[in-house]
Amino acid sequence: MMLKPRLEDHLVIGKYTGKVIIGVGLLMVIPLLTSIAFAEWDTAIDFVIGMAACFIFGFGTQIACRTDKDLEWSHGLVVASGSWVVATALGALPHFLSGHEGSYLDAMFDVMSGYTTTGLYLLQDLDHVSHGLNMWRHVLTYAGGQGIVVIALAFLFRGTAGAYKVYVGEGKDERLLPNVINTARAIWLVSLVWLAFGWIALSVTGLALGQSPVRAILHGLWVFMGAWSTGGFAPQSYNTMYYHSVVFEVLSVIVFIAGSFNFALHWAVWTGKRAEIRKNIETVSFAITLTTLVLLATFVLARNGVYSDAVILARKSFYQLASGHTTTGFSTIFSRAFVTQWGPVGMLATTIAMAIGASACSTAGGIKGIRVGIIAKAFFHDVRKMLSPESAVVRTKYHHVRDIALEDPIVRTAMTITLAYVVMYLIVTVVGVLHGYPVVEAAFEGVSAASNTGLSCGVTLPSMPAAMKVAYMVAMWLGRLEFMSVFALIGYGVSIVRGK
Amino acid sequence: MAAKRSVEIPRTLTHPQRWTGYLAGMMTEAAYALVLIAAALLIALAARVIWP
Amino acid sequence: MRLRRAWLGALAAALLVLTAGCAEQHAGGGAPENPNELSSGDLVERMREYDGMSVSFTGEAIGEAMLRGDHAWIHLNDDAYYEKNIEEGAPLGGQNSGMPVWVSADLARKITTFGDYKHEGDVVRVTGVFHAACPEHGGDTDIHAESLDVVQRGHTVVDEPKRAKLAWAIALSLVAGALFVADRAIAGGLRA
Repeated sequence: MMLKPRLEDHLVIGKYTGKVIIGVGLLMVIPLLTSIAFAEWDTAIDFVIGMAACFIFGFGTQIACRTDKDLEWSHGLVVASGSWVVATALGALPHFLSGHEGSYLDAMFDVMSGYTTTGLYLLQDLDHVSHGLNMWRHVLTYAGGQGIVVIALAFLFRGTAGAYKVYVGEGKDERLLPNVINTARAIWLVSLVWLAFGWIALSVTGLALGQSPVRAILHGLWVFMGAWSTGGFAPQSYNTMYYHSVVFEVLSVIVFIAGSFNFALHWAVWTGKRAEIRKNIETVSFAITLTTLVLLATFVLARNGVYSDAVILARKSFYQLASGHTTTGFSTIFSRAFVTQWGPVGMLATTIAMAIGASACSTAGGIKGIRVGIIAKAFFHDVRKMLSPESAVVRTKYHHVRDIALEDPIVRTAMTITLAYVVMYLIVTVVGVLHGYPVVEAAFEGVSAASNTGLSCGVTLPSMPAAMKVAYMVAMWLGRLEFMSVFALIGYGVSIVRGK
Repeated sequence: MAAKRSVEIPRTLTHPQRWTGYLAGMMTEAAYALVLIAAALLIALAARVIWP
Repeated sequence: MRLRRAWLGALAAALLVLTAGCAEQHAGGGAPENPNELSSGDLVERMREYDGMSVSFTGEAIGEAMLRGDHAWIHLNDDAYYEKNIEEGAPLGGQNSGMPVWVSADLARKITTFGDYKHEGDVVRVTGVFHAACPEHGGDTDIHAESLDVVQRGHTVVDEPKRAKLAWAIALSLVAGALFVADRAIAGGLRA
């Protein structure tokens, strides 16, 4: 039986959604200052409008929804998924006002793609976009990677017990520290320290590669943000092919692989448990699946004679595969080259990499290493059980920060979510096929959207049918929030109408 | 009230003593990525041997 | 209660406007014709066929010339914006498309303006060999140019602040400010 939500429930949800949106408005200060610094006045106005809209919603909701009630589980989930929708609708204002988007839907597609760290975009003429708008594209993907709710938690929420419930709603369930607000802060600490080092390294490299100091600093920051958040936005339409440099590629690989780690893993490694990096179920699972897929793609590319020597082969194959597997979406080949150069097997390997994705509780998307690892362990567990005498007790453990016994409920949850991802991948692929795209391309692009990767084989274009844009947006949202909180939002909507 | 909502990270997390640990942690993470790159190079070398 | 109704009404109205904005905007006027016999799109679409062929390629130089010793990387876009960009009032014509070009540093220096937000770059014609996966440059797709001519000089682009947007910005900021003050006042009132 569903309970009809009472006024109090609406008020709590409204209040906290408002808070998150105020946080989004505050984020726009960064691109606003950037456009002022570069005297991009028209862009600056776009951000003033965007900020004002966020504050009107935020403070308006605060006034309309005044309550002292704390969040319950269902509220937390609804706030998380609901804020993402509102943040997308309002965050799209600067994109739309810039005149570079074909419609408001396109603008929202780009912003949803940013928050969910996907990296597909419909923006037109990226190579003539202002520094301010480029800053906003990358800030929102960096912020979205950590979780916009995590930001609000870290900086805006007072210590409420309910805070943890919103945090979980955003697809993160690890407590790095006993207190959720401190956990949010620890996540930010890790991200900011990496930001400092990554930004400097990439900027210095850019300078050495022949960029002017100002452009090197901006590109260094933006490429870092695109990599760390496993987002895949880059400041030029050529993506990371623009830099033509092996050093730049290695640096970005290090950043996006580190960015795809579970924050609990970061915290363990940073606080002295360095062996965790080779024992953790997720790093092990990631290393195995990535290496296997690199092997597949490399062999096919070598057999077809696409690349001339071993170093080039490794560079191209590893970069696209690692970018796909961490769900980043950077690429050093043209989008269409996946079709015209890599061919179906290369695309299939990349699609599988994207589908699996990286670590849970990270900035990455996809099914995630922990689930793949748990399911693999469960499989071998069952085989072992079958082969052992009936009286024997077979025990399996997996390591994630500590040793955990593999029990049926854990396996069940991993299986359910994996199944949900597989079904979603199938649906987006079918949507693409129904619109007339070849199966391999529809699967590649659909999985790329649903796993929040952002590699493109040339399907995502402003001229794409609106139904597919909407399907991809919903897939990004579902994939990023891992279904539950989105279903909670839908359930909330249904219960308003049908509950008792 | 304002003090409670302080945006600074709790001092325990940013204590100077912790920084060497943080840096070593970053190095470990970077090393993991480099090992994977090395593996990819070996695979590519093998591929070139099989399909010259 | 009335306050909440009004708020819900305002939100619903905003939602309607948003939905209306989602309709496709039809661009006025056509995009310029592609300057190339073989466009960047054609080259990528049939890479194997054109690999190693000598091509002539025209496009707007964007970004910057990245000097590497006695050579440089430039990027030439032959998309809808190679003569005029959106800030100057060009219609939307799809995403960027172009080719990386490897050229001697001396030739690269002929280019004086590169395309970005505030500039429409020089339109440049190069002739050289197209590589689907360049063995010299880590397998990148590129053109090694032997000659480079500036076809048309670029220019500065001024994106004038639009008056209507400015008015909206001021009005919305005032409303936001008023709501902020009201929120604080009510919060203060409740506590007292």
